[in-house]
Amino acid sequence: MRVDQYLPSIVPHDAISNHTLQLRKALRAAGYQSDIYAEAIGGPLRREARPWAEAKAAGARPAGERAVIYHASTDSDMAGWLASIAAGGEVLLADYHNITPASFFARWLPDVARHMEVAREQLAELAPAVRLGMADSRYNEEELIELGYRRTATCPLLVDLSEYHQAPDHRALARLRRARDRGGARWLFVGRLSPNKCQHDVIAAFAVYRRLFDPKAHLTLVGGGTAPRYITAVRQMMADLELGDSVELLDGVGFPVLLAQFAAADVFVCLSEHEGFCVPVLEAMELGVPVVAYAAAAVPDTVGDAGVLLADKDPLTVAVEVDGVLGDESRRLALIAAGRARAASFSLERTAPAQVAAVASALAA
Amino acid sequence: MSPARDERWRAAAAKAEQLAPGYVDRVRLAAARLAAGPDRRGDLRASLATVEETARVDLDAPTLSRLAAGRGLKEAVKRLTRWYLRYVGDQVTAFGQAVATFGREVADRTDELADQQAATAAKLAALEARVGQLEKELKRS
Repeated sequence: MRVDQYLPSIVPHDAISNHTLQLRKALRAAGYQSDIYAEAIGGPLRREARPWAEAKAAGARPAGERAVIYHASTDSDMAGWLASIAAGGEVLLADYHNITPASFFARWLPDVARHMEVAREQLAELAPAVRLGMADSRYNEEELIELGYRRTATCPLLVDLSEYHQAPDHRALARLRRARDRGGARWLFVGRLSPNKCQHDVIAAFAVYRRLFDPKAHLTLVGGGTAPRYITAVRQMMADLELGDSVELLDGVGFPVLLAQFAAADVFVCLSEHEGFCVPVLEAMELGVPVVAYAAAAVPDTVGDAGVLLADKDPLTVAVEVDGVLGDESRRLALIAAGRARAASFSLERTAPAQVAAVASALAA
Repeated sequence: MSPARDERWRAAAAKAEQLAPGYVDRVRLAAARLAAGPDRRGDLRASLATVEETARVDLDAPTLSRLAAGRGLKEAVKRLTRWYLRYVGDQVTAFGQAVATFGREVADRTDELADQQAATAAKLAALEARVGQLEKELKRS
C-alpha cells in the first residue's frame, strides 16, 4: 500500500517539514511505499520531495491503491485537489499543525491575515472528505472536532531529539560562557519574531525582572521574522525601555549556535498566545533549561506539569515567577528533571510508531 | 495565585514602587501597544494608527548571516549606503507623516459630518413627528 504526504512547502529547519520527513521514514519502515509532494521545495530538499504538479498531472488513482496525508497549516491550492481525489475514492487523512488566527496578523500583515482565513475555510471544507484527522496536540484536535471532523487522534510532532545532543558551536559557547561569567541570568526564547509569539511580552517581563531583581540579566530572542513592521515596533520598544544591549535579536542562527544558546541559558520564557505544538519548548526541556510559559493554546499540552505555567502574563507576574525559579536551586533542578522526563515522552521511539498505528487503523476502517 | 506567590508578587510590586516608581506601568503600556487586538479592518482610526506606525522607516537593517563573509558583506553595504538610505528614508518618513496628518484631518472631518448628520436626522424625525401630529389635529378639526 502507498501512503503519500502532501504539504504546501517543504524547507530546511522547519518543524513541519522535519515532521514530514520523519513520518515518511516511519511509514517506509512499517512497509508502506511513501513519497512527499510539495508546492514549494526549498533548495537542499529537492532530493527529498517531488513537485505537487507531477502528482496533479498523473491524476487520481484507483480506490484502495493509495492513501494521502495532507499537512494543514496554511492555505493551499492542494486542498481542493485533494478533496476531489477523495471524492473519487482515494483515502484522505489530515495532519493538522494549526493555523494561526487571522486576528494576530490583521494589524501587521493584512495579506497574511487573509491567507489564514482562507486556510481555515479550506480546513472546514475538507472535513467531510477526511477519514482521520490527526493533530499535533489535544488543542489542535479540539479544533478539528469543532470543524466537524468525525474521527480524530492526537499525534505529536515527530522531532528527533537525539539530534540535540551533538556538540554546540564551540566559539559561540565560549563567548556565551564568558558573558555568563560576568554575571546575570540568561533568558532565552526561540521562535519566529511574530505577533502571535508575543516577543514584546517577553521583553516587557525581562525589563521588569532586570529592574527589580538582576540588573545584569540578558535576554536572547532567536528567530527570523516575516513581519517587518512588528520587528520594527519590537526594536522601538526595546529602545523606549532603555534596554541597551541587554536584549539580543538573533536571526540566521545555525543549529550548532542554537545549541550553544540553549547550553548557556538559565531559563526559557515563552509568552506566546498561539502555538499548535511549540517545538522550542520541547527543545528547552530536552536540553535541561527550565521553562516558564504562558498557558495558551497548545503550550500546556506540550509542557504538561514539567514547567511553570502562568495564567496571566503581566510583566510583574512573569518577572516574579522567573525570579522564583532562578532563586530556588532545588525548584530549578526539579523543573529540569521534570522537563527531561516530559521530553522523553515525545521521543521518536514513542511518537513515530503511534502515528503509524493511527494511520494503519484509519486505513483498516 | 497561591498565598506564597501572592506574597512574593506584593513584595515585588512594593519594591518596584520604591526603586522605580511608575516603571512597571510604563512597561505594561509599551507591551499593550504591540498586543494583537480584534480585527480592526474597516476602522478608519485603526488604519490611521497603522499609517503612523509605518511612517517611520527603520534604517538599521539586520546584518546577521550564517556565513561570516555574508555578515561582513552586509555590514559593508550598510555602511556604504547609510548616507543614501538616510536621505531617502527621511523623505519617506516625511511623506508618511504628511499622509497621517491628512488622514487625521479627514477622520476628524468625517466624524464632524457624522455628528451633523445624526443631529440633522434627529431634527428631521422630530419635524416628521410634529407634521404627523398637526395632520391628525387638522383631520379632527
